Formats: sequence, C-alpha cells, structure tokens
Amino acid sequence: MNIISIKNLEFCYPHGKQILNGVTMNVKKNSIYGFIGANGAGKSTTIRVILGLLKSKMDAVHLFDKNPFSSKNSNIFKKIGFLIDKPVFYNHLTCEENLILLSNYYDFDKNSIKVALSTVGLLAQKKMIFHKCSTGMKQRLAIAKAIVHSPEVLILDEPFNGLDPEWTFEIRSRLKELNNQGMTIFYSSHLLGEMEKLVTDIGILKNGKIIIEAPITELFDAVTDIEVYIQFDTDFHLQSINFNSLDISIFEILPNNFVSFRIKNKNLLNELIVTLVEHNYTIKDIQILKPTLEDYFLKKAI
Amino acid sequence: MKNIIKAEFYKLKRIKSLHLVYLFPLLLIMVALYDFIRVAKNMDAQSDTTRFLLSHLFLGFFDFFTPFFIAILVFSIMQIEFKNKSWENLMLLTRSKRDIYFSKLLVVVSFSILYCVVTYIGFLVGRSFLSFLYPALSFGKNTYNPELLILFLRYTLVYSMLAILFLNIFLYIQNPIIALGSVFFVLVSSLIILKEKWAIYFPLTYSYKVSRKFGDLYFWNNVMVFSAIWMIIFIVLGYFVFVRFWNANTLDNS
Repeated sequence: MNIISIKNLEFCYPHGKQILNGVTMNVKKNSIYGFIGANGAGKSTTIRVILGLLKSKMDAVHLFDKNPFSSKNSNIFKKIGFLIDKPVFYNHLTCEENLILLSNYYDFDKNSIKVALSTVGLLAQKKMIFHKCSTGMKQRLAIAKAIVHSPEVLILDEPFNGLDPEWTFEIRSRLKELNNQGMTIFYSSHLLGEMEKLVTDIGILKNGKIIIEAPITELFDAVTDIEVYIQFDTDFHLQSINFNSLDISIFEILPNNFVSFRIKNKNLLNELIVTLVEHNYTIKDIQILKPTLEDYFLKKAI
Repeated sequence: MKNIIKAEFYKLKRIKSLHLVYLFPLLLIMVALYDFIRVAKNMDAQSDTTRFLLSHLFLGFFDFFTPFFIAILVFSIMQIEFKNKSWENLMLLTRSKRDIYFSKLLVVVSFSILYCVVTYIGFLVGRSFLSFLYPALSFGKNTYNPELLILFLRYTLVYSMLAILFLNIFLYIQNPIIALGSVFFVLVSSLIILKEKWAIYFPLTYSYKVSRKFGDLYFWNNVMVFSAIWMIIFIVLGYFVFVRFWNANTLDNS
C-alpha cells in the first residue's frame, strides 16, 4: 500500500516559473523515504502541495489511497505529523504548553505529551519558555510536536537542522524505532550522510521531476565505481605502471605512501593488486571506500 | 470548532497586554473618581450625582479612548500569529479558513464584551465608593440602574462591531504604525464629523453617539440598528474576503 502517492504533479506559482513538472512518486507503507534534490529543485513546494498549503490544479496527490483535499477525507491529515521549514511555536508559551495547545487540534491524552517530550529529551525543560530555548531544543520540540499525536506518517523537512551530533544520533535512533513500530517517514534533507543511515527508499528530484526513485540498496548496487586507498611501504612512482589496460585511473597521491585509485568496476580490484605486486610494490594496507549517497547524488542530480 | 476556540483562548496565556482589558477601564474610573472628589465640595443633595459622574467625568474619556483601546486589543491578539509566523501552522492544524476566521472573531468579541462588563461593574463599584464617601449627596436617590445597564449593553454592541471591523483589517496588516495610526486618525476625524447628519453611516462615531442617548430605556435606537447592520456586513464581507484572498503563506513570509 502506498501512503503517499503522487502522479504527474505540476505546480507553478502565480506569475512565476514552473516549479514542478510532473512529479510522480510513491511512498510505501512503513518505509523511510528520503527526498533529495538541489536547492530550488522543488522539494519544499512538493511537501507544501502534499500538506495542502499550496494548491495544485490537478488531483495529483493521494494520501492513504484517498484524495485528502476532498471534504469527506479531511480527517486524513490527523494521521500525519509534520515539520516544515523551521520550528513554529508560540514564543510566550512553555514547551509543554505548546504541546498542550495541540491537544485541541488532535485527539491525544496528556500522557502523550510526556512521552513525546522524553523522546526528544526535553522532559526536564518542559517548563521553559519557548523563546528561551536553544536552536537545537526548538528543533527537538518541533519533532516532538510532529510525533505527539502518534501519527501514521511523518513528513519532515530538514529534521536534523540545528541538532548537535549527539542529538542527531539520538533522533535518528528514535525515528528508526518509530519506523519499526509501523510509522512511515517521508523526509527531505541536505544532510545526505544522515539520510543514508536512515532511509529505505530514495527519490531524487531534479528540475521539478523525480529522476530516480528506488530502494537505497538498489541504488548502491547500480554504482560500479569504487575508490580504493592503498598504502605502500615505499614511494609510489606513477610512471612505472601502465594502468590503461586495467581501466584504472590514479586518483590522488596522498601522504604516508597512500595512493587513492578510482576503479570503474569493482571486479578490477584483484587485477589492480596483482599488477602492483608484479611491479614489486609491497602493500601495507588496503581501504575500500564504498560509494555514498552523496557520490550518487552528485553524479545524477547535479 | 469548540476545540479550536479553546485553543485560541489558550494561546493568549501570558500575553501581558491583555491585562489592559481590566486595567484600562479601572484607570478611567479612578480618574473620574479623582475628578469627582475635586469638585464634590461644590455639590449638594439636589445635584444629579450619578449623571454628573457618568456624563461629565467618565464618558468623555471612555468614548474617545475605548475604540482605540479595542483596536490595540485586537491588534495584540492578531500579532500573536504574525510575530510567531504561525498562520501557516494554524492553517495546517485547523485545515479550515472558516474555523480560523470565526474562532478569531469569537475571541475579539469576547474581549470586547469582557471590557464592557468590567467597565460596567467598575463604574457601579466606583459610584458605591463615592456614595459611602459622600452620604449627603444624591447617589442613593437617582441610581439610573436600568439606564446604566442599557447604556453598557449598547456599548457592548458598538464595541463588538468595532472589534470585528478591526479584526478584518488587522488580519492583513502587521505594521503597528500603519494599523493603529490609521485607526487613531479615523477616530479623531470622526469627532469632526460627529454633528453631521450623515455621521450615522460612520461606525467610528457610534462610541460618541451612544453616550448622548443616555436615559432611554429602549435598547434599539438608530445607532444600535446601524451597529447591528454594520456588524452583519463586517462579518459577511470579512469572511468572504478572508476565505477568498487570505493567504497564510504570504503573511508568514512577508
């Protein structure tokens, strides 16, 4: 079942340029969907259209297989937790009061506030006035706000903004836990390293269109290039070996007799090592760098 | 809708400027009492003390400042969303422009009513204090209690109507100088046109006109009828414009 399903979504701001040119994407139930794209690609616009803040001319968005903008389905939005742009709260209220306020819009008991605050580590600071909170605390409270009513799906725009490494790790773990409990998570971020550790599926948006949508494992299987760091016990002399036949390029000579090689096909690694040994090089250490989401993104989306 | 209204009241918690809703009328009453004490020595048992306290010492300030005060009150309530850039968030939570509009409307009207109730009670308490202080004066004789009740009910209708007018304006204006400055300008201008026949068509003159009709025991007069008509027009027109043109996204990013 698709939780979020978008088909040929087009959007253009009044008197502006076309932002979305037929976005088609499917977020499967219980997945963690990473939504990436360069600045201005249309990520935030897509999220705003999904949430109904921007109106698209076509009936392109379906949530839980229903049209959420039809008046009979308006309760669908109660199943969604969201964090868009930056944390929005009432500055004069405390962290706890800001969440109590939400209980008027969603149906949840007061105990859920305690649970949400402790999930993001703010239970001890619940009486703190919001405007006195640090940037990281505000961001964590925004995540608490998104999860306090136990939604079935979370839509998060840059959820790790302003978080320190400790809380980035913690929030990532909590999001994984929530996903294990059945929550579907859809999020966009520029922190591709973080995204790689969390997501199960990726959608890459370029020029208002989804150019790639796939499970993250399939994405990496498709990447054949690898980068290998080899440490020799002596200086490496580039001229001594002809690599052309191996389709290997020397990438960079590094300190401590390390050399990085970029190999077009990982099957060529054996041949590279054999060639080096044949040329009387003694290999002290080999480190293989796996392709990252960033590598993939830079290659495909820029 | 009930919960949305509850939320609207909840978010006013700790807004200091809202304390003015009872501090301001109390201040006006204290000024009137002080003035009365100053001139009390020239009065005797035949003087119509309640009417004097009300018409000469209290209503002059009250009529002029209250519309401006209501404007400040409505502006403060609207500023909560502007300051926190929370219009879009409110839209996401309520998912209904109708609910946003009518919950805000109910809040501002409630505060106008509260303001009039506090003023009414404050005036009665102030007058009791003076009658205790000056037992020889005629406070006990001419109480004007029914007339006072009608007067403050009329004020309640007029100020509720003005609160709705200000709400419709301040939903779109977040600059205090433009918002409150223009209200002040119109308010002063309405003093100039007050005596003109056609002034009845200008809602900002009604605050002055209500006090001039003190003594009637029948609630509905032309000012009240016009106030009720304007109120309906402001609600219908304000709601239509809000639903058709109001954009949370534009306001949050402005």
